[in-house]
Amino acid sequence: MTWFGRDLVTARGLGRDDIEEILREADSFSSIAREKRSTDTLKGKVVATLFFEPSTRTRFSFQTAAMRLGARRIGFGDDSVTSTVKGETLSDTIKVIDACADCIVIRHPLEGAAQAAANVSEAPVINAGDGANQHPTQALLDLYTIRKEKGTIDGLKILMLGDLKYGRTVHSLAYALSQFDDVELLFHSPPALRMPEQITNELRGQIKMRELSSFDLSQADVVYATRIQKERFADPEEYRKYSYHIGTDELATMKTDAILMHPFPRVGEIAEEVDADPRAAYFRQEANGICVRMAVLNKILSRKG
Amino acid sequence: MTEKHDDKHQPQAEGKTKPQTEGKAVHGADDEQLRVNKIENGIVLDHLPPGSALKVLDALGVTAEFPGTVSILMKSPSSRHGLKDLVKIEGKALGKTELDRAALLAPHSTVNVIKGFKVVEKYRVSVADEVKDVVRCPNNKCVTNAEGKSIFRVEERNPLKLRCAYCERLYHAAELASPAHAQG
Repeated sequence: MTWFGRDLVTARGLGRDDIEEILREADSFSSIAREKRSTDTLKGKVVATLFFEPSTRTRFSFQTAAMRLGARRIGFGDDSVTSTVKGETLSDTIKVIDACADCIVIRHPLEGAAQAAANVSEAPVINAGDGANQHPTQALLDLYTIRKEKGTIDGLKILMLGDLKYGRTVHSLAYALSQFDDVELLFHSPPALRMPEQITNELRGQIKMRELSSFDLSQADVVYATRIQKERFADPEEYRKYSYHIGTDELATMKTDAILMHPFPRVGEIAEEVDADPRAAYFRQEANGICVRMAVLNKILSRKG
Repeated sequence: MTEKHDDKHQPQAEGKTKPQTEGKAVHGADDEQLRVNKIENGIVLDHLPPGSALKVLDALGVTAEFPGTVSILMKSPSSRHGLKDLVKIEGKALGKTELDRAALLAPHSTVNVIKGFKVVEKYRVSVADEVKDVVRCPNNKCVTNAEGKSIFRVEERNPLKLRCAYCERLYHAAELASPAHAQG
């Protein structure tokens, strides 16, 4: 399916060809992003970034990607400055922005909000996170990072840690990884925050999945750590029991050629002392977001993309 | 056309004889066949999955306060399905939304519309590939609970499962048909 003019709302519908196309395009933009240069590929285009809930990395990453492609950007990072505080519906807000922008990037706390926006917008809509549902560009940048760091995605064992129930990044990544060959997903999380059965049932048969009974980093080629939010637990003792920490001791149990990823923000899951280890790929992962989002914007907005 | 059923324990054919005492099922003395009273005006939902009759009534909003006579036959032998449920509701017409909700619970059932003791219309319910604005999404965080109309797309027919076109969650049809998710 062509990327030109397409909405990117979910990772569920992405095929391997779609993904590979973006990863190749991201490669072509990686030096521009790394060297902080710009092109005029999207000169004259307007990208709207509508963030109805707080975000630092994703919002700045999209904005930087748009600007490095020569596009102008409009938008907000806090819905308190919009007419939604006056009771305007999401649908009306999107229709108004649609008249201004060539592409709409949206983050919203409600699940399905990006699809609702796409339904009323002529301009293509990119989902930058909708509640606990999906975050497809995060999945693409995660795949880009895995391939860049490991040389391949096929055949890898990928351990997902933390909040797998509400973490939209792991949901999108699991769907995207199911398009690759012989990947095995390993899960370890608090019992109440396991990967939703909805997702494991859907992916069964497409990808190998296994629940690890103990905190074991030794089997994985990629350790994908996510934050566990204290608010998810009624009892603080439960939070203490199930929260985890990766310090140098834990890092020592990982394969020497494994990588450690995290979608950020981290709140104690990974010690700062780990940052200097070459296996700590999370800052490189974050930086990759720019060239991957450049690729997504360019593919969607440029006929030549 | 009169109301007919092809199963062993047939409800009494509508319009052929004088109705039995309203609201009561009686056993015939000679053949031990179960007789369910005919209705004058209303609907008969036949070939419901066994054990689903009460849920179907719930889905249709037929509660204890409903003024008409309601006859329920549960787990009756059926030549077509092994066992089936059947409900007769006096004084009830089905709107499209109600029909769609009933279809979620009983996708292979038939509806007989009765007027003057006669079956004036008979059709099979069906679940369209897309069910729009019939039930609300059980996911409280789904955007459709804040604004817009719900849309569910059939993902599997047997058993019937539908996926919310917005929040992407997959539901068993019976879960969606619960009165708690009736479109408000």
